[in-house]
Amino acid sequence: MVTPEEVRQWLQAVRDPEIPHVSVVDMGMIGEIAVEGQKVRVELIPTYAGCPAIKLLQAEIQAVLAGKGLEAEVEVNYRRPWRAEAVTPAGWAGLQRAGFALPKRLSSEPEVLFADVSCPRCSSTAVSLSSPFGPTACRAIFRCHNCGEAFELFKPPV
Amino acid sequence: MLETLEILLLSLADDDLILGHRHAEWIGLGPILEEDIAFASIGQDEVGHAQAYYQLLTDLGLPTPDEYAFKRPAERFRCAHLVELPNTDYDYAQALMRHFLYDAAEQVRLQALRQSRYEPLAGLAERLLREEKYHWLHARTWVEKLGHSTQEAHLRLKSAYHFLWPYAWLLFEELPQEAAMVEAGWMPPNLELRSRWLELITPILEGIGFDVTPPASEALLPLQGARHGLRSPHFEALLAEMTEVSASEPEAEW
Repeated sequence: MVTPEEVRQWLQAVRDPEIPHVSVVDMGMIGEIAVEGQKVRVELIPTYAGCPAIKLLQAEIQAVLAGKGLEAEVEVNYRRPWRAEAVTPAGWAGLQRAGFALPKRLSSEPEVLFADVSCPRCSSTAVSLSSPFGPTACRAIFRCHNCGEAFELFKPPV
Repeated sequence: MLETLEILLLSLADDDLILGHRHAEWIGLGPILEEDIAFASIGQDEVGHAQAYYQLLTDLGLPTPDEYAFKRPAERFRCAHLVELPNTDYDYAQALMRHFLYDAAEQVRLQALRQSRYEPLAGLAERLLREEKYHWLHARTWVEKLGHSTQEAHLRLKSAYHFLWPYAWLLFEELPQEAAMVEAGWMPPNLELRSRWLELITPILEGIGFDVTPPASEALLPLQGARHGLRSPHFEALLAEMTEVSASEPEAEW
């Protein structure tokens, strides 16, 4: 009999197509898992409601579990907010490897989140926000005044 | 009650869907690259939020998000006329002022809906508010910056504000069956939401030297009825464009 924990382990293979350094599990996007015989129900919690990767992730989760002989139903739950607190230590490490600056502390105010940021390349704190919006919903664009590079902050919903 | 719930959720969803579509029109045309990206990103959020609202109805056995968005006749939409207005001449001041007035309304609406006694809506409002805070930060930062900037910037923003004001006011037009929604504890009355909205935007607008007074009733009269299904003259072309691809292959799976 397959356990929810085993399923969670297998889902480590499913990665965000935009940030392949982090699995959906470490990103805190997998909620409840219920196994019944050969059927499994997986709750998927999008980081941002408008995330265009959701359909793809749904299909990949089904494919990975089909490879284990399971028939998966993936319920996308918008009613439950995704929280950055759900990102695992491995998840934060992956985001850092992907080149993002990470929020030093989480806050419910964007201004607080943006106030304390260091350049991921040279560690300088002489940085300024260029735009709270970047190439995907979960990124904000900054500029470093020390090394002159632009960089992205991983920006969770607050 | 299902019909009443549908009216409420469609008014929220349709506002987001249509404004998301209008924001997306800025892709490739923003005045600076960061604003091009910001409007695209905010637009993508809004369309995602619309989808999540429609999904609450789908969960109750009503049509799917795609059916609501792409297969509904114009008169069954419930959005406010503010979001239908075209990006005429790609006037950035007008796009920014609409974004400001609308996202202030979203702040107020979502904060209130977190306490909705319709639990799926309360949960969704909590999620969306956490995303929307960035929209609000973006809008008010630019309005304050440009409001205190050159005379041209100030005047363009002001003329956008005067044009949009009655439309924005009607974001809070009473919904059909609103009394039943309030009675059920799903939402506070729109009149109350409007006064919270005014409390939020008045200090910012007055801070850049704009007067904030209720629009004259003769300015409001011809613009009323959006929540009852009366569409503005701009809607038909918008809907035709938005549904062009899906209509070309109605049975396709996306």
